[in-house]
Amino acid sequence: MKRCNRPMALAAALLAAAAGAEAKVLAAGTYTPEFSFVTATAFVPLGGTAAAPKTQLKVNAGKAGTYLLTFSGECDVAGPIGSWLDIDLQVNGVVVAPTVGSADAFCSGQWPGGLGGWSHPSITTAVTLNAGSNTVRVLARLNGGATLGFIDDISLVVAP
Amino acid sequence: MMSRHLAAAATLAALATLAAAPAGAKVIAHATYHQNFTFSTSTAAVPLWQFVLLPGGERIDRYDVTFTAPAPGAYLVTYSAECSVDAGAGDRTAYLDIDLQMDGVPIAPTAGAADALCTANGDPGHDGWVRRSITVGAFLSGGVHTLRVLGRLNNAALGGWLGDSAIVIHQ
Repeated sequence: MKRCNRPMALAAALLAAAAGAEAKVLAAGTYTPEFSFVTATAFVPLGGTAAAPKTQLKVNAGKAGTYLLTFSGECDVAGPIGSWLDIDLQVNGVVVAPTVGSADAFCSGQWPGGLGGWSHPSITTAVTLNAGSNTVRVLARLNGGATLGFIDDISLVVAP
Repeated sequence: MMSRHLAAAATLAALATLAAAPAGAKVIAHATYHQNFTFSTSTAAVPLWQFVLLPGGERIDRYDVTFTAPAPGAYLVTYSAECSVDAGAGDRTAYLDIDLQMDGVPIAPTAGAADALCTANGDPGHDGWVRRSITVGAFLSGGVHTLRVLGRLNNAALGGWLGDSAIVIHQ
């Protein structure tokens, strides 16, 4: 049996190497401080600190193709019932479906006038990346009379 | 000339690589629906993408995603949509659930009506939209499969809204 251990070990090592080469996260960003805005639109922090937030995530893809992008965050809106906050996921400056435009609510005002209906919505969609360097940004937008948007505990992951 | 042990190692390595390849992450199929969709029947098939007829550009809703699983194994399905429920004033218990149906069979835990995706907020009409998301695992045989989404109204819900959806099947 001893003589057979070497090929088995080699196979195990190759299996580990192969598995490692297949499944990996290309890029990930998190931002835990509170982030709120009162302007019509604002880029959402994807990293950094409250003092120096980063609103752009760089993604290096080994090859061009289709990848998964997942974005989630605690979300709330101050405004009348019927107001909402939507996001645009932007890859290399281009908004990806189905987040184009403002009609895709991410969260909504649940109580007249103030915050109080926090939820943690999430979206996973397929995106096309170029080989090499890519950028991801998330634009948030206030709609329907919303006066303040709130997003924190943000997570963005890009994976094969 | 390759020794017996080296040949055995090469064979094992080849088998190991073949086994590992399907386990890697990979998008198998995806679709988005960039419209609002509402329904007031007890259940409704949910549109997942649109077919565009040329030359007029007429858009036809499609209610299924058909894809080929490259090999038997575990796959992930992620569905998200802007969701709201229309119910009577003060009603905060009416809710909407979905069944993710693979080849006509609901995938756990979405089978049945007890798994709310979103709930009415007590204000009549559609408002309070929130993007809800679910990721489930499904063991599939290799070959062609069809995925559908069924929406269902519960607890005196008057209407359901599932718009701007994204669905991805991946490994």
